[in-house]
Amino acid sequence: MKPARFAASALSVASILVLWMGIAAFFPPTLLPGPGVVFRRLAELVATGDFWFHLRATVQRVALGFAGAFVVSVAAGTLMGARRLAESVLSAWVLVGLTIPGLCWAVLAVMWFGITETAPVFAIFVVVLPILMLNIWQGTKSLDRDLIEMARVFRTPWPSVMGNVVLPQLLPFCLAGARLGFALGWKVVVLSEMLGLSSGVGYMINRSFSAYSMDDVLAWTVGFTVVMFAFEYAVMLPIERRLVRWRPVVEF
Amino acid sequence: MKLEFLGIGKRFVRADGRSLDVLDDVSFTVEPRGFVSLVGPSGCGKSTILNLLAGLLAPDRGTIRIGGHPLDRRRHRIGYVFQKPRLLNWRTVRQNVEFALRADGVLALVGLTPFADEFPLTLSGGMQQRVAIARALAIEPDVLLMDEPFSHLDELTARAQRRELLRFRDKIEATVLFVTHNALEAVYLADRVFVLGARPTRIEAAFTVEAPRTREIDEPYVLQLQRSVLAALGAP
Repeated sequence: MKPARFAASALSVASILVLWMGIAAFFPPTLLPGPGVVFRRLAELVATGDFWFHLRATVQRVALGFAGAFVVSVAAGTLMGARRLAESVLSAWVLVGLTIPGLCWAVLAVMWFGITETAPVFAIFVVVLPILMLNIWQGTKSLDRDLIEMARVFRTPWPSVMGNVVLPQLLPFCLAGARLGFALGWKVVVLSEMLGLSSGVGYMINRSFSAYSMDDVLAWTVGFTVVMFAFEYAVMLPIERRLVRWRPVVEF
Repeated sequence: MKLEFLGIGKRFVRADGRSLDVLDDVSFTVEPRGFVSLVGPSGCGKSTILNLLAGLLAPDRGTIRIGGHPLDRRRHRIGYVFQKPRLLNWRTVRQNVEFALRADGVLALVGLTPFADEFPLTLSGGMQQRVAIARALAIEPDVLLMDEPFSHLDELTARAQRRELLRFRDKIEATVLFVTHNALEAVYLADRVFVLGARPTRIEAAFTVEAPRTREIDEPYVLQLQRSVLAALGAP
């Protein structure tokens, strides 16, 4: 990243902290503690290992649910884009899936599967699936037919057509879907954990809430946010940058 | 290889159920390593002829032979240069050409070696089309089909690209079929020019270009023959 853009990002993060400090100065610490207190509490949680233990449980659930949804949506989404019949059958499912709130799925999952690992993984799977399907469906529909015809004229074997022609065009849609999917997945997993699990970041936030410990609620929330933020910068952005490096940079 | 297009008929059925005769008994022959321009009004079935030769369509009547054998996509190698470059913009110039087959020789032939590792969108439209030509040559085609490859370029660029094509024309083995609606371009590049009529298409007239390959686009002979081609097309 260019120094100027890095400085702009750093400044933007710093302004959030300053805003938080400013607002916290007007409220008692039991209602809104400042960043100093919260980060100190977070450091304690990290030191005891509690933070990593619960974070791992949460991330594992999201990863499992997301991976399942990704595999199914690549198959179903490309089928929808390529075949009219599949599109007419499945598009209603996608739209219904997009309409049902994540909270409903989280509740239903706990009622169906009880307090098991299956409940949060299922909830994430069904919430993320329609978003990913929608993106891959649209991506397949927008494939450049001229390029596929070109590949046919040159008698290109199908693995090469997939790898060189189809996948590179689908990847930006997969990435956009993954972004939205992860964002929703984090929300749903925390809800599921609040409703009926005995580990995970959501469970710990709920427990801190029961004890009315504002420091703990915020420490868990902030810790989780920082990890998500790091994930975006360390994983999603480099992937995206690699994917679009063939495109000339245009600013307007 | 010798290209024979014998008594070809092709009919399309439209969405409303009515059928449309695009080609009706079209026959022509191109000698080995010959260069023929097909000129005709738009919608006259030029692209249908190319698609039949590329094996994207099958004729209803007639036979296509290449090198004396009926057209077989496994046996014959057909290179195709489309109107638009149709490049994989996410692959480098070299990878785009390798998509067809081997790259190095043809990149040098069309003068693209210095750009081999660039991405297509960093090149000008004329250079992108040259990559598409290199890709078509990479398979060492028996027949090279070119579908108005310079029609979307500006006139100056098109002029340079035509001159370039004429330059390396003798170094390639392929028999070339060049489709265009530009009579001057047709005459300038080819050994023979076939004029197609309106639907259903037949060959209306044929001209032989009796000028050496080192010709200029604005020399009197080329301009004069262009007038004859235009007259055959029915231009005032």
